[in-house]
Amino acid sequence: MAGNASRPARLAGMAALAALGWLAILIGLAPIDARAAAWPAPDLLFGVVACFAVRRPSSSPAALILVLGLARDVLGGGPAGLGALTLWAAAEYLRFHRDRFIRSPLAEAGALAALSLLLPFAHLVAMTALFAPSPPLSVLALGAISTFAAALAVRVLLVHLLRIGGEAVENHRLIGRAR
Amino acid sequence: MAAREREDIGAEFGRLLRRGLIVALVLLSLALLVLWRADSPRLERLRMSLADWATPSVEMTADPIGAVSDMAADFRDFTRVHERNRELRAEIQRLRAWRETAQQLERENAQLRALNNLRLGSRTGFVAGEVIADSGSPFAQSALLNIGADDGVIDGAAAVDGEGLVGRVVGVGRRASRVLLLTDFNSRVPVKVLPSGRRAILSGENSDSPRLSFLDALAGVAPGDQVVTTGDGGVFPPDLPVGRVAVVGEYGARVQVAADYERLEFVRILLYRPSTRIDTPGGLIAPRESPAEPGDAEGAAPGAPDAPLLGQAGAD
Repeated sequence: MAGNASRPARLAGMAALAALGWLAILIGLAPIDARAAAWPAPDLLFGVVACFAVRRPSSSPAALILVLGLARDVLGGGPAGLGALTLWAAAEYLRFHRDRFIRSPLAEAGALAALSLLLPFAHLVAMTALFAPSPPLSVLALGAISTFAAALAVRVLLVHLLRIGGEAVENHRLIGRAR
Repeated sequence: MAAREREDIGAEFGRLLRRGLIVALVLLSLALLVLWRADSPRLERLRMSLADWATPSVEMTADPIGAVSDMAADFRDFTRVHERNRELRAEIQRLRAWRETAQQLERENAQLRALNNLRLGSRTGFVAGEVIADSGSPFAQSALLNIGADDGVIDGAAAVDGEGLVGRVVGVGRRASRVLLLTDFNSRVPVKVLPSGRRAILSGENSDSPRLSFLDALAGVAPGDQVVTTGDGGVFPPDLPVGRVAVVGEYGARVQVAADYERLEFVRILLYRPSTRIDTPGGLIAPRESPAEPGDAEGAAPGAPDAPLLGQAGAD
């Protein structure tokens, strides 16, 4: 139970999320192909946060997710803050429906696919609202596909290799849930 | 009972603190978003502060990933080694012809510069750095380098690879700097098309072929024409190769960039000081010294007096 999870276990989980999240940011920034038309790099941070939000909600506080998102946005060079907000919203959605996702891996995969598509779409809407230029839809669609594939790979890696199993929770409050 | 109450008050305080922190972070995210849209240089300074701090870990991660990526690329090259060999032989033949032409032009250039002793030749030095990160997002086209202000990099400087212009420096930290690629939406570079000499602005559009904006007429512009920098504004040196016109259509022209973005590993940051024309006695002021110029002297005019000499002339 999340409420029953011991404080050291929660802190260890948070440290793991911070370390894996930072690693995901660094890998995402690695220079592989700088061409504009190249296949976009997947959002690995989303995969890590999604896995923790579903399986270790008590170790993935909103503040930590926002800080990781901000670090990624600021280092990356794109619109700062937007990625952090959408990542946090996605994490809260996954955390809220986590009981269903733990019971059904198919539902979890479906949610990951939907969020992989929705996150860039939300960026697109925000950029349009700010009168900022956006990349073509085809590039965003390719990015969504690679993010979904990466999220599944990260899930397999964390759950089966690093043994990050699920924990139950006591309530479904959106904010301040992680204690 | 009292202990229980104290515990409850403590828990409630902790919850309030956490919520306050979340609200503060959300507000910070929104503020950064507004700052990004309204005032990019300020945000750029913030980016570079974080980049300075993160450079060692970024480099540590980039190296093994780069090695794996190189292995994949090498394997691809190995499968077409014969074809590549033939291409390289042809390239050597072409380059030999160019070497002769370049030597001839260099001699002619030196003679012409020597004749005009009232004009200080522009001095272009450079500092080379390694690309340690790219933006990792389709919303921005930029690269992070492992050289910064400590190495003499200056804001706005041109970045080139072996083929041509890569972009310009938009953020400088102490140990890192960020280069905005020509393909980014925010990239605008004044260029001219050769041989027609028509001037235009090269505008990035997050595609591999940036557009030639503000081209006064398409007449005389054809696919294959060379595109070079004009040097207008004194930010970039003139005549840096940018690319070639790829398409000329009803809605304008697009340029195939010469820089090799697929394998962007090392770039040179040009430390350019534009030439100074002496029009009036008041113009006899020595140009400001830029910081360190590790690769200085490349392109210096053989007959041109250097800056300290001009400073003495001004004093006289």
